[in-house]
Amino acid sequence: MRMPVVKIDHSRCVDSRECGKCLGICPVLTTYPEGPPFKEGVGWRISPTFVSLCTGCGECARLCPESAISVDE
Amino acid sequence: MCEFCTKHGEGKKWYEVMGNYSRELLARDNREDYIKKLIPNIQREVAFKLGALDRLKVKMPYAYRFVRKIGTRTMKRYHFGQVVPLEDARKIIELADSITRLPCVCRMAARGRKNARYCLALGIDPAGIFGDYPELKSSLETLTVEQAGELLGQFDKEGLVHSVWTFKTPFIGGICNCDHDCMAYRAQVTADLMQIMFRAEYVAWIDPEKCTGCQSCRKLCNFGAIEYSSAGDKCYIHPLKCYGCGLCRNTCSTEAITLLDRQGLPGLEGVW
Repeated sequence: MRMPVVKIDHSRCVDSRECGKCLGICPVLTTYPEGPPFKEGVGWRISPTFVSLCTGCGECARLCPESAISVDE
Repeated sequence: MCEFCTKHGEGKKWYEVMGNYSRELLARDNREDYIKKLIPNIQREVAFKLGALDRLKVKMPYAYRFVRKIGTRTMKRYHFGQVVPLEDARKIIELADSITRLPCVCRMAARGRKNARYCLALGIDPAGIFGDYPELKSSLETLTVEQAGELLGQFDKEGLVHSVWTFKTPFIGGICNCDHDCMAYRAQVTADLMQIMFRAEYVAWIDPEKCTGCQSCRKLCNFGAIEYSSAGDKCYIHPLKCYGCGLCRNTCSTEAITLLDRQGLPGLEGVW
């Protein structure tokens, strides 16, 4: 079975919790702190966690205001 | 009676046993340290461990089955849950020493929501545990039993499933009020990765005599357990899919839905 590959450019997506557009529509994505949790200045990164649920619809890439997400089928 | 009832229930349901909420139990086995580590790190655990399990499931199905078994066994020892209907959740808050409302860590991981205050900590002192994390600490709120009961009712109307959670079983440290943004729900129901919570001790049943076939209950079921037959103009609950949360009762205008004891129903032995 081939899975869609969700790639995230972390240099463009700075704080996923502030924006959260992709998280709002997709059950595949989750977010986690890139350093020690809940400290100031620690960014929250998007992670394509439940990739087996991904249908490759590309809605996350379309919604991302920074074009940080790409989906390859 | 689930596995935990036999082990920790003293003949009752395991979450009705006072000892499972006690301070003595909390003080034992490094529980406070465990909670201190678990809650702030849960988003990373989800992203890395559940993510890895999900990839394993697709790439190496046989290895995945083995890991799934081990994972559930570990979770049963450390952090496991069970769905409870509203009445039982209200009984539970009466047994706890203290009730504190805190932001949900799952909704933070799933939706990036910082301040979704849907979780109730029981008996533990989150102010001490979250001391190092001002973001979590700022929105804590201590509730009385009456306030918490009212809040649970409100969550029930919102369509949120209640569940109890252990911190190093059998200590019960919290009640969650979840929908599909819950990490346990996503891992167990949506992605079917592994079992992290038991179903409730009940199964819902629709009385066909009273059911008018309006289908309003179907919208409330988080587990897709309610089916509709246009020939009979009735709704039916699939007993193997039902988690027994009892939310479907909220909207039924003819009170056709009741919760039956799961134990003793034919065909449901071992369905948890």
